[in-house]
Amino acid sequence: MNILETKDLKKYYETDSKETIVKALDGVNLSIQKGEFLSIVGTSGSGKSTLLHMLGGLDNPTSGKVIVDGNDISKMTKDELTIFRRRKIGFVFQNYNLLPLMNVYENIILPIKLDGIRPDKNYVEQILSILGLTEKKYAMPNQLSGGQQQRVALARALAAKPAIILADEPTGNLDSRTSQDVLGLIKTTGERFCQTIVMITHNEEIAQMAGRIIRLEDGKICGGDVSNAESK
Amino acid sequence: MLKVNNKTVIKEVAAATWKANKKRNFLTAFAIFLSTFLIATIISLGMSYWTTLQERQRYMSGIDYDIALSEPRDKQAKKARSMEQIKYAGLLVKCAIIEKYQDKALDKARIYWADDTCWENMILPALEKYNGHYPEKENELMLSSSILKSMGIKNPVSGMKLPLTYYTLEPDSDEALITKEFLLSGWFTDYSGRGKAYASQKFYKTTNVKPTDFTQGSLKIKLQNPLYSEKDILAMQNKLKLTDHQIIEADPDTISNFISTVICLSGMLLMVFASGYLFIYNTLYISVSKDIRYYGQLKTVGMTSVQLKKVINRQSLINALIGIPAGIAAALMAAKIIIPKAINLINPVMDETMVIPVNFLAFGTAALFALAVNKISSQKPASIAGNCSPIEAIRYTAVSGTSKAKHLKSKKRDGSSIYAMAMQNIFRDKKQAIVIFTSFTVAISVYLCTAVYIMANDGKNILGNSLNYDISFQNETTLEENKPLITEEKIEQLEKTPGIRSVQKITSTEMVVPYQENVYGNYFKALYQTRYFPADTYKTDMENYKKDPASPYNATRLIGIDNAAFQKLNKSLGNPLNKKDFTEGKTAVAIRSFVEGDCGMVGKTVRFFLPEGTEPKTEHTIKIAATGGLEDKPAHFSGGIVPELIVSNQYVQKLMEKPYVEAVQAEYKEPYSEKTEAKALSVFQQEKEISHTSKLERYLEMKNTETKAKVLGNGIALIMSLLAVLNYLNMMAASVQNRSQELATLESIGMTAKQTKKMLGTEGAGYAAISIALSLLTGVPLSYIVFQSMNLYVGNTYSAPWGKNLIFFAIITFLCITVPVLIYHRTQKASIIARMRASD
Repeated sequence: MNILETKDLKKYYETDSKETIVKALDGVNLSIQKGEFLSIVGTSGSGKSTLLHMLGGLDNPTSGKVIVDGNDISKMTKDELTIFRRRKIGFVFQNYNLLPLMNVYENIILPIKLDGIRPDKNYVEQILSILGLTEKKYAMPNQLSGGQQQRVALARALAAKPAIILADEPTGNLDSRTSQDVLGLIKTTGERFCQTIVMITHNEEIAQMAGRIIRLEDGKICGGDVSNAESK
Repeated sequence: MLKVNNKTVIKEVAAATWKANKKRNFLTAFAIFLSTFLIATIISLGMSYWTTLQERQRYMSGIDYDIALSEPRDKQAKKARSMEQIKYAGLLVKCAIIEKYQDKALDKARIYWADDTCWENMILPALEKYNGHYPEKENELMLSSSILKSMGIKNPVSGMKLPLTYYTLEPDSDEALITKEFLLSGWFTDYSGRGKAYASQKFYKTTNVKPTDFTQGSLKIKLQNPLYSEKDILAMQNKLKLTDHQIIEADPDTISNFISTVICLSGMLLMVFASGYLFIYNTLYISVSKDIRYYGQLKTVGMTSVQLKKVINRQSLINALIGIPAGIAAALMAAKIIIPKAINLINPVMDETMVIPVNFLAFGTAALFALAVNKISSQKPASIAGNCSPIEAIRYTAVSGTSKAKHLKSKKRDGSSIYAMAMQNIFRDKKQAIVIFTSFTVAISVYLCTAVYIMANDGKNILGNSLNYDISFQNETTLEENKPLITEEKIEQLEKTPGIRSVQKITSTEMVVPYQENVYGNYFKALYQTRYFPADTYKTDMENYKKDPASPYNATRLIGIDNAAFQKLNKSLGNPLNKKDFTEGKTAVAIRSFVEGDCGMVGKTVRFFLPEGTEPKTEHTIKIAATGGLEDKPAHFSGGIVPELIVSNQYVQKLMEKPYVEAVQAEYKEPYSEKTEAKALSVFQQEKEISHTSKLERYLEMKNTETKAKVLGNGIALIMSLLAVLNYLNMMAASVQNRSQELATLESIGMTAKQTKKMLGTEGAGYAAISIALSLLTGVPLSYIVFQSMNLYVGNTYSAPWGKNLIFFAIITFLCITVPVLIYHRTQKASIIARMRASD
């Protein structure tokens, strides 16, 4: 069963002079099954992040469709889409996007509280422990290193137990050991809660941990390891 | 070092940068325009408002002078005129009192003679308008519009005949009535509310009154420098060699009053400037700070700090050159067209052209101020950009987060709730919070002060504080024939008149008080120390009093009042009276004249007889529970030197078979209602010996200056509130824009637009609540100080227009809540990712 699907997805940007059109995504057709762990690889500017943003409804496509769990997200109102994202999708941004006025714990539980739900404290503590953030629970984002901030961003994405996790270079700022731990955590929680994981990475070795890899080039899918599609 | 000619390149870079940020620069120019406009308008409105109030105060006194010498001698007048510090010295003599016009009794209208200096330099400037000319012939009179109204003359014509009955004020003339036909030479309007007439010198001569007659003559003096000290007055007294009971009427507090007024006005002006300063500074600071990264880039390619500062200054000059002239032009338009039109619209009698003189000083000040603030405000970012390293400049962000972050752990803290987030946001950038609170507090405080000042100077308020009734009917036969003209039927008729809330009866009767040293001894001693009673006659007068307490010189009056009048009297005396005792006739209030303090009267029991009472021979007693001044006396007519006693009407009823009603006062349900007034007047229309005093009539006389003062005053209040709101708008717009990325992040992790709006609205409500609380803390005491220092009218008590203020606070709160939400709604339309990137 496909949980994520794109149909002829295009995202074009015009330059300021309106003379050149940049095709960030150029007709991407992609299906991702429930529970799948997918890596997207590609060179810088190949459209990886744009695709991830489109999947999460953070950006509007020029044309084409994004279907999440059977819902065409272009048909949703802004607020419907936000609530849908809050409940279904956990995002890990490349530049973390932590809220500077909230401490680590508050940042992590914010999406849950925005939904009016009480956070599962034990679960949050568990994530904090695995990510090595227990001691930094009450620290402010500007007191954390890049790696720590990335882990907080990951914790925030995992805390609400979303059906889909979209991660943009989640281990980009981590050392190799922590990278392994973090990916292990993503995989474990993915399996435990039957989450679908879509991850962007530059690192071929990390990409290999995914069940399937697709490669993007100039806004188009130009290859992928289809054989791993069913593996977890 | 070699001097490099780089003027051209700086010009080019400045022009290119300005053009690149055209939209933002127009906003900055707009802020400069608004500030220039607001400040120029506030100063010119303020000046016109102040002039109008001064004008009205002059009209209310009916004569414009600084000090006056009583009973002047010829020599003194000559001497005064030759003195350097005296600008004018004009003679004014009260010479007769008009009693009747045809058969209509008038309320003691005074006839004055004024010499040319007094008329031209002191009386004319204090008249709102006048027709005709000053009387020249012996039988000519110039009348005030209020006396004309009392006479029932609606359309006066020069030369019309005026059959009048009057008596002269010649000493020992026994007030013999003379009937004579006068001719009307002219009429005038001042706001004194007193029936007044001016007569020719020829007439004055016929009255035999002399300027030296006690209390009749007065040399009105206008000084070269109206600010004088007690020392100056003493020096003048010595030079003029005052004799007998002569005094120089002067206000010893002139200088201190002037100083406190100047301090208050300067303080308010300073606060207005502070508001304007914060407004321009914020806009510019926010605008230029955004460019600091760009300036950092310029530095990386080799631009020096000096060159950078020049580029920034040049840009800010362009903004100033657009904003300032436009602001001045708009202010000119407001002063010349909009405000006169508004005044004309409210009061069509007022000519549009006569209203606001264009004040170049105001405009010049505003322009210079805007230019200076513009320069100062662009200096800071210019020096930041100029002084930091290129890389630091590139990384510079105008709005800093929590720079001194601590581990924030608290059981109570719940930073992730929307309300907590809103509260954190208010204080996230301390500088911004301080600026918003300061500008709001300053502007709202000035608004509160202005509102109190405007209310204190509202014509209705001034009259309301000086007259505690809407209309008063007075029996002019009191003290003479004592005709019972105000009958119970008439009072009932008045009570039943639609629109009348309450009617109060003031009864009075002659009272004979045997000499009682223990009660009034100290009072008489004090009375004979005043200039009104010759000290050398004290002994003889007291001997005469002991022998004949019933003589007109000694006899006094017992005044009866109703419950409502009791409440007012008790309140104005500071509540010393027990209602039950007063009503039952156990206590009374003694009225003293010219003497301060109770002189030991309070607590004493006084014995008296009522010659017109049911038992004229019976001696009654009553305890004096308090004393009051003449301003506390509700009755108009007086007796001799013995203090009058105010008692309850219930008590009078017990002592008199048919109490004599001296006056009846009515309060309207709707004050100043013309409809009710017309109906009330009709009750006594046929009674020729009943005069009336009406608050509405006095108010209508003041209408012209009142309209002007209202429009100008409210204009100032409106502009002050605009300044407060615009400043907030400006800051919030910048705040929402600066937080664009954060708001997008919040949306990306699941905060709906509705939740964001709720957060921003709560932030706004927080700003409003804190600002209003701070403004109340500072504004209310400040407004009290302003009121105390600048109040021009005796009897005016501090009060604030709370209804209006609450509406103003509600509007501020509404705007504070809605503005950030609207800004968010209008500016945050792009996709989440686009907004995140835009701020990178």
